[in-house]
Amino acid sequence: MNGKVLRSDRAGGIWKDALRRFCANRIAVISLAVFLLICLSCALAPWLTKYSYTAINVHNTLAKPSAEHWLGTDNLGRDILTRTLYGGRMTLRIAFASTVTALIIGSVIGLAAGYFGGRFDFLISPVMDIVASIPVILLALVFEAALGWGRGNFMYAIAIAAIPQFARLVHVCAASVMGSEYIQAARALGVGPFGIISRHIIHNVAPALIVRFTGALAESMLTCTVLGYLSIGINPPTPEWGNIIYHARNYIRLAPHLMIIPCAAISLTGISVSLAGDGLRDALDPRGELPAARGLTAGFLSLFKRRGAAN
Amino acid sequence: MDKDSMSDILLDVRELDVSFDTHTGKLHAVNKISYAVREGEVMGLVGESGSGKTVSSYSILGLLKPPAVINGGRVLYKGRDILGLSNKEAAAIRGREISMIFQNPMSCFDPVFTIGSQMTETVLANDKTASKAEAAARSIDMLREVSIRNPGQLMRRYSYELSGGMLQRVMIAMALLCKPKLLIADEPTTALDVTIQAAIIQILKKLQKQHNMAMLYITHNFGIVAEICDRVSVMCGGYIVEQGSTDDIFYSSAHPYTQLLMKMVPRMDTPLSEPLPYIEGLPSDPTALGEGCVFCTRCPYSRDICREKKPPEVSLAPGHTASCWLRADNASAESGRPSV
Amino acid sequence: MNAGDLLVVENLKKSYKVRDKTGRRMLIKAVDGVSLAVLRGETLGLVGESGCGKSTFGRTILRLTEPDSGRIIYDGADITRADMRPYRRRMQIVFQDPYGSLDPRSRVYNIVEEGLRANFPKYSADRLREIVMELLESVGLEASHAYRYPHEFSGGQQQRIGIARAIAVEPEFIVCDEPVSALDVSYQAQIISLLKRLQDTLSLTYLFISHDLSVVRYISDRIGVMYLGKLIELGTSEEVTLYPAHQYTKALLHAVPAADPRAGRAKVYKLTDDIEDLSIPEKGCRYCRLCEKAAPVCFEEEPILREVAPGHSCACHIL
Repeated sequence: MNGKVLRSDRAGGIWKDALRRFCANRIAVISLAVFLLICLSCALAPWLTKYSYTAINVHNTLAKPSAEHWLGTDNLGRDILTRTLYGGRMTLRIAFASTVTALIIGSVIGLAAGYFGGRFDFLISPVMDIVASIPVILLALVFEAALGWGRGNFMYAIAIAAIPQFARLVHVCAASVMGSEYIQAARALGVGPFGIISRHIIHNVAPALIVRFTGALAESMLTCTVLGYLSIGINPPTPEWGNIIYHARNYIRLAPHLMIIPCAAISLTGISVSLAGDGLRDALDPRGELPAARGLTAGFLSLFKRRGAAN
Repeated sequence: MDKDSMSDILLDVRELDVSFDTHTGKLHAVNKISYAVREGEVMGLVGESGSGKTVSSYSILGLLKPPAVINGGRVLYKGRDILGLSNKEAAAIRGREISMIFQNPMSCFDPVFTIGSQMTETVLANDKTASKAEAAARSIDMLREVSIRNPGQLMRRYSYELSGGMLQRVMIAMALLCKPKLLIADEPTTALDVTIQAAIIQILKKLQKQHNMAMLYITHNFGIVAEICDRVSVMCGGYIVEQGSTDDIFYSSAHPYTQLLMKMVPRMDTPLSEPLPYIEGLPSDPTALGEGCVFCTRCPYSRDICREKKPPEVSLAPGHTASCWLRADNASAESGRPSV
Repeated sequence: MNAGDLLVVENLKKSYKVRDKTGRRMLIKAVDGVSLAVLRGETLGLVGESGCGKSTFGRTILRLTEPDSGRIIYDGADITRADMRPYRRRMQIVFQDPYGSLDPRSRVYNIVEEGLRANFPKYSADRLREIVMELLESVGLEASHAYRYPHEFSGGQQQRIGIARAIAVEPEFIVCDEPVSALDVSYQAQIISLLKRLQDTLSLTYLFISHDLSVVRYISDRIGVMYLGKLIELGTSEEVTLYPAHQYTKALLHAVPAADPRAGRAKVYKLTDDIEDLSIPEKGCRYCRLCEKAAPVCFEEEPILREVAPGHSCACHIL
C-alpha cells in the first residue's frame, strides 16, 4: 500500500516501534521473562545452590521434595535442584556457544553468496545443502570418534549442523537487498562495498537473523540433550539435562520426578524461547515482509492470498 | 450525458462513516458521505490518495477488516441495506450483483492455477446450474469481449506470464462473468502505461454500454473522468466536497479543490510556457482534522470562517452540490443542511 | 560532438538473456543501437511504453548496468569502460518507485547523508548536518522529517527524499527515471515543479524518462521517442507534440486522456501487448505489425533516423 498518510510526531525509530509491539504482546513478554529467568538461574547455579552436584549421600537416596532438598534427591542421594541447575548451565552453555558460532560462520557464508552472487552461489548450493543433509547425530559420532570420546567434541557437530540455516537466511536477505533500487542508488552515489554492507545489508538482515537465532537456539539445546541421552554428549558425573534423563529412566516407576524434572526443564526452556522468538518476529516484521522469517505454513499460505477478488 | 431521471437508483450510499483505530489516534477515513448511482450510470469518485474513496468502496462490498470500524450510515442496494450483512450474505452479492476490479491485477490471481480454471471456478461458484463446459464457454466469450485475440490459448496460461495490461483485461472479464449490475473499479489503470490505459477505458466504455451496467469508477485522474463518467463526486480528506454531472463539474465547477485538481491534469493543448499548477502543501493529516473545512489549509481562497466551521452543502443546480463557504454566500442554500 | 554537449551516446546496445516459460533461452535486446546527445542545461525527454528500453538506457549510461557495445561520452571523456569513481558524483538518478528506492530501515537523515559521506569525507559532522537540513528544506521537507523512516511519508514526500539524496552530491546531470509515474496527479505536479525549480537554481541537465507524453512535454526541451529498443523520433518538444512524424508517436499522443468531456477520443491505436510474442521481427521496421500506414517496404527494410525538419528526425519510410 503506497502513499500512507499516517505521520507520527514522535521521531520513534523502527526498533522502538518493534519494542513497543513486543511489549504489547503478553505471551511474548512472559515467555522471554521465563527464558531469561531459566538462563539466569542456571548461570548463577554456583551461587544459588549449597550442595555440590557430585555430593553423593547413600543414606538419602530417592527422597521426595522437602525443605532440605527442594526437588528431592536422586538415586545417589545428590540434590536434584543442584543437578538440574548445573545441568541446565551445561546444556545452555553448549547451545549458546554452538548457535552463536554457527550464526557467525553462516552469516559470513551467506553474505558472501548474497553480496557477490554468481560465482559464490556454489557456497549455498551445493555446499550448504550437503552440510544440511548430514544427520547431526551421525556427525557427532564422527567427531567424537575422530577427536576422542567424552572430550566435548560433539559440540563441533552441533555448530556445523546449525550453519546452513543461517547461511541460507542471510543469503536470501542479502540477495534481496542487493536487488533493490536503494542499493543501485547507493552505487550511483559512489558508496563502496563496505558502506553498502555495513549500512544497508546489516540492518535489513538483522531482524530475520535475530528471530532465526532463537529458533536455532532451541534446536541446538534439544540436540545437545539428545546426544547426552545417547551418551555421545556430556558424560556423567557432569550433569547435563540429557544424561540426567538417561540415568533417570531406570527409576521411572519408583521416583518419576527424577525424569519429569529435567524433561520439564527442557520443555519449558524450549517453549519459552520459541514463543519469545514468535513474539520477536511479530514485533520486527508485523506485515510478514521479511523473506524466510515466516514459518513454513505461513509462507506457503501467503502464496494463495487473494486480495478480495470478485467472488 | 443526460440520464433519464426516472431510472432507478441502484446504489444509494447514505451518511457512510468509517474510521480506523490506530495507535496514533482515530483516523476518520470517511465522514458521513452520501452519493447515489443509478442503473446504467457511471459515477466517478475522484480524490487524492487518502481521501477515503477506496475505503468507502470497500465498505460497500463488506471487504473492510479491523481496525476499520463502520460508525454509521447505510448502503442501500436496490433498496436493501447491505452494510450490515453477514459474510455469507455479502458473498452472495459479490460477483453476482456487484463486482469489483482492482488497481493491481497480479494480486487477484492465484499463480498456481491457470487463468481458465480461475474463471470457470468463478462462474461455477456464482451459478450453480452451469456445467464445466458452459463455464469454460462463457469465460472464452467474455475474454473475447475484452479484445483478447486468442482466448482459448489464454485460458491455459498462468497469471505471471501475462503483462499488466492483459491481466487487467482478464480481471475485467472475470468481474463481468456473472453480468453484475454494478462494477466498482478501483483505479484499474493507474499502474498502466498511458496507451494501455486508453485501450482499457475504451473496453470498459463499450462493455458498460453493452450490458447497461452501472459503474463506480475510482480515480485521481480527471482526464479519465471526462472520458467515462456521467456523474462525479469529488472527495477530499474523507468528505465529498462537490458532486454533480460531468458537465457540471468540468464546465461549472464550484469548489476550489475540484478546480485545482482539474488544472493539475497535464493537457496536450495548453501552451508550454505556462507552468503546471499544483496544490501547495500535503493532504491534511486525517488524525488531526480541525473544526473547519477539510481543504482550508491548502485553499487559496480560505477565509476565517473556513477554518472555524464546516461549510454547508449548497445546491447550485439540480443534481449539483458543493460544500464551500464561498458558494454559501452567493447561491441559494436550498438544502441548507450541513454536509457534516 | 558539439561543445555544448554534456552527454553523447553512440550506438548503445544492451541485451539480456532470459529463459521463457518453456525454458528456451531468449535474447531480449533492451537497447538496440541508440544514439543521442544531451546538451548542457537542457532537459531531454525520453518517451515510450514499458519495455521499450528507456529505463535500461538510463541506467546503462550511468554504468549501473554495463553496456554490451557502443560509446558513452560524458563531458568529452569516454566513460564506456572507465573507472566511474570520479564521475559518480556528477551523474545521478531519481527512481520511479519512491518507496523502493529508499532503504526502509534507514532514517531520512542517513539516506540523504550517504552520498555526502561517500564523496566528501572531509566534511565534519556539523557541516554534514547543516547541508542535509538545507537540502531537505530545498525539496520542500521539514527539519523534523530528518529523523523519520520512509514508510512514515506519502509517495510524493518519499520522492522528494530521493531527489534530495540525488542533489546532495552536487551533480551536473540527473537521469529521472519515471519519477512521477507512481504518484497521484496532485503530487506529479508538485514534483515536476520542484524538478524544474532545481534545474534553474542548480544548473542541472536532465534526461527525463516517462511513458506519459503529457508530463514529459511540460518539462522537456527536446523529446526522443523509443520503441522496442530503438529511437524512432527525436525533436524539440513543440515539433514532436504538435507535428509528430512517426505513427507510433501519434498513437502515444492520442492515448493521453483529454480533460474535456465533450472532446471524444479520435481513435485508439492498437495495443502493443496484443502481440503475444514481443520479439523483434527479423527484418523491417519494428512497428510495422501495428502500424496503420505500413507499406511493403516497411516489412523488408529497417528505417534509419533521418532529418524531416530542422532539428527533428524520424525513422520511418512513410513520410
